[in-house]
Amino acid sequence: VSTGLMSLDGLFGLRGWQIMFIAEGLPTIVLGVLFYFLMTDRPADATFLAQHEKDWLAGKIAAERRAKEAVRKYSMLESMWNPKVLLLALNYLGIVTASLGMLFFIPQIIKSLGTMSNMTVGWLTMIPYICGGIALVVWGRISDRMHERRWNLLAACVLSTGGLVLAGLTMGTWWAMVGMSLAAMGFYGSKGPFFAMPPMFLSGTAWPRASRGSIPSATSAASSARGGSAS
Amino acid sequence: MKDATGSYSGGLYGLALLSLVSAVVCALFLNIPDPSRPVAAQPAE
Repeated sequence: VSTGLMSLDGLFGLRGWQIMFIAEGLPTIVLGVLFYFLMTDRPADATFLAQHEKDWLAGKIAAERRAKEAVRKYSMLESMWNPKVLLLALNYLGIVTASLGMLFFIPQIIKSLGTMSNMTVGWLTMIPYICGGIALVVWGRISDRMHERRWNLLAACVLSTGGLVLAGLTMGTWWAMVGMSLAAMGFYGSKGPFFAMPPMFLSGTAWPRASRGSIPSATSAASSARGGSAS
Repeated sequence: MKDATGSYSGGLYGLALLSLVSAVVCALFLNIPDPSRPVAAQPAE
């Protein structure tokens, strides 16, 4: 899509890259506005759920909250200095920095494999992302069925490491594409197990605000900033 | 990192090191018990 949009250079007096940014940014803005109006803070406010679904979901959330708070209740400030939160942030920083570093450079790496058009590079760039998308769903389901997070997250991190090493060792050949696809599977496969971990111990005022917002946002911002420079 | 090493391979090895750090942190420090886990699925202590 990006390559096709770039080829519209000159439309409305705009450069190709300007058209690409506008066309790909607009759906995100529209979705953001729609979510503000459609999504609710609590199951009880959700108009798209039946009453028995609202009751079941609210009961489930309340039971999980009671179980966590029976162990310990965290305030928002306490969660910021909690060693587990900091270690989760360190884990996320490593995996997201590696992820962004690789994904930014995939088109250039593919282009270095041989002479091909930008459109072909665009199509080939989809391969690691498709592998990652499948892994995101499948790995999350496996982790849910196993009721297990830590070793699933570890397996995803190890797969990413192995994929990146394979890509490095085979640079200049199509095996590098295999390595990058495996790495992308690890990067995206780690999301499900990772984001299930903060709500396993955060509660009180630290949940849902810190675990849904601050932790991913802070680490994502830091990782995004470092991703380009690290690669 | 790619600029520092002069090759894509060097950049990828650097990124692999970051992934490895994540794996080590996970293996050694992220043992978080899940209070909502079914009793039958809890490992024996």
